[in-house]
Amino acid sequence: MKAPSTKFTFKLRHSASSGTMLPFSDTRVLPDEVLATIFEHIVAIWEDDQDHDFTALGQTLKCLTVTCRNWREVALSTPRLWRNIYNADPGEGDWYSPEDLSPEDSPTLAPTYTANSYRSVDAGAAYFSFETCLRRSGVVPLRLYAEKSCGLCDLLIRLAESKASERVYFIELRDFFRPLPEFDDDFDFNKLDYLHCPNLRSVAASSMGTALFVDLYDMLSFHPGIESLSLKNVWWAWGDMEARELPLLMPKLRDFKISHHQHSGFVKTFEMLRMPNLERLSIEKTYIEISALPSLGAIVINQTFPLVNEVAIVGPLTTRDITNILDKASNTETLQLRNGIYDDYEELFTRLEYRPWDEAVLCPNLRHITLQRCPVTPHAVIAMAESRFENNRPLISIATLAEEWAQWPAEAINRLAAVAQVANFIPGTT
Amino acid sequence: MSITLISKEGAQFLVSKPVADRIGVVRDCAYGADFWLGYAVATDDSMGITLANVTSSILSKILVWCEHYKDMEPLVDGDSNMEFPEWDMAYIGHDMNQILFVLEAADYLHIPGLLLLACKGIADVLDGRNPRGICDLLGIVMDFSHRQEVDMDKENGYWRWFLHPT
Repeated sequence: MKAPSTKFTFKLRHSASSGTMLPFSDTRVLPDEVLATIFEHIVAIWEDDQDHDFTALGQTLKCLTVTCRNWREVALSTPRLWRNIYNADPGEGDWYSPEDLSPEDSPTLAPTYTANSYRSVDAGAAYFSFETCLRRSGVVPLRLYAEKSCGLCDLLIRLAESKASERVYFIELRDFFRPLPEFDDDFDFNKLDYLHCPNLRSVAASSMGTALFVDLYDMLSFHPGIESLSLKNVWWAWGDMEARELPLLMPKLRDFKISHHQHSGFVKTFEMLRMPNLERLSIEKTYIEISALPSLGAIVINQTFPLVNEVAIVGPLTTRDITNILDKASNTETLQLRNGIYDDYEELFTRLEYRPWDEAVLCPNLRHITLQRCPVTPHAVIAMAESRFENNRPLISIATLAEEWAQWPAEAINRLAAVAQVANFIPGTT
Repeated sequence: MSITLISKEGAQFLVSKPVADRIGVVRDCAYGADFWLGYAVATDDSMGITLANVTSSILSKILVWCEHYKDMEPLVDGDSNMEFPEWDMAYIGHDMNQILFVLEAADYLHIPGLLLLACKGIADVLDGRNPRGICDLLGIVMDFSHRQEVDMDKENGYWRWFLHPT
């Protein structure tokens, strides 16, 4: 049998009629390292996606390994393609509904699925095994994903046994929500010192129950080198943290994102996590309990973020709450306000005007503003921008969706363009 | 100083030094080994460099990228999760043939930033396609041995998935 080629070859389907064809034949050769880079970008697209659907990643990797011999060799010998390690444990309880799945959802999941068999559903079957990923990933840093029940504990134990704990730099925990008091003490992995990941830098947790947040707190306290933290839909109530009375100092945290929290959870999070060196703060879809307004409804954060220069606020926070948040991040240079549909932001933009003779200026160093579906009139935006321009603190840019600019009067855009760059905001970009 | 680049068809492109500096092989030709040793090299304005493997249309497209990045550093290395600027993504587009020509020329001309961008462009086009779609798009011929097919079938239900992709 002929030895496999070390190069990836393919033929162009179209002729060179456009005149763009290079001079050597219609068969082209790409170096393996270029092919590997393309593969890495394909996996990176999945990693950048917030959903992190391992069925999709499994199919992507299988696709790369079954297209042709050379693709398979390159894919199997590119460690970074296999750095995402996943474990899902169906756990117990009725919070997980197999009826949501059908054989059409995933051809790889289908063989293990039978309609009336809950235990037969193994989400991990849609992806490559722990051993496969660990072996193929060589020595590159690892991204760890644990989903449902005690998957994380199991993963960390297996990593420790494989002496790969120090390679972990990212952990994502998902769907750990279970109602109290069904809490398994075995999950408290931090009781075991050897489960420590010394190079852990980024943690994302979503849909965690109240009890499990205690474990998250322990995990964070065990890893002071964490630089990025994302909390989504973490539920807790006052008193949950009795066993952990002291606020947790996170000295290296630079990037913090909190989303889908209710009011009490939001306030409690900022009470328990101290982030003196934070640089980027993102608050998305945090809801204020209407019944608590106005006496308890305001967001109160009892810490300041002197190093924060980027703030993103997405969702229906009130002017009062946004003002309170920005007041704690006085050196903000970049501000995103998106989907603020429940409030009138006229007053907020009045507060953002540069009026040093009046009251303390909110965000005096503001340079960039991005607006998307914000309830504010062009007049208020222009007044804010002009006040800063007149006081030698001009904005550099103001961006919004192209369709929103289209609704602005031409005269208003011209006035704004005279004091700041008018830019188009494209969702999904920063 | 400016440099004249000559395409395969003989078309001439007069480019400034900062633009030409983005092209590795041009930089090497213009400065020679002395460039790498840190010595400034004087060259005359009439210098012409023939790029025999690059057509006019691709060269003109590449020079657009070089012009854009004449005063700033493009992404050249690092994690594949890096975010490319909006301009880059609009520049590279989704025309697979065009991207492949750019990639090939960037590789030949030693332009790492553009090579990386072309890789990203190809990845975007390939993302979400099944093996059959990729083979159709790139004209790849299946060349697995029967033994490999059996092994892959055991590994991940290869044939069923390939023949009946979602």
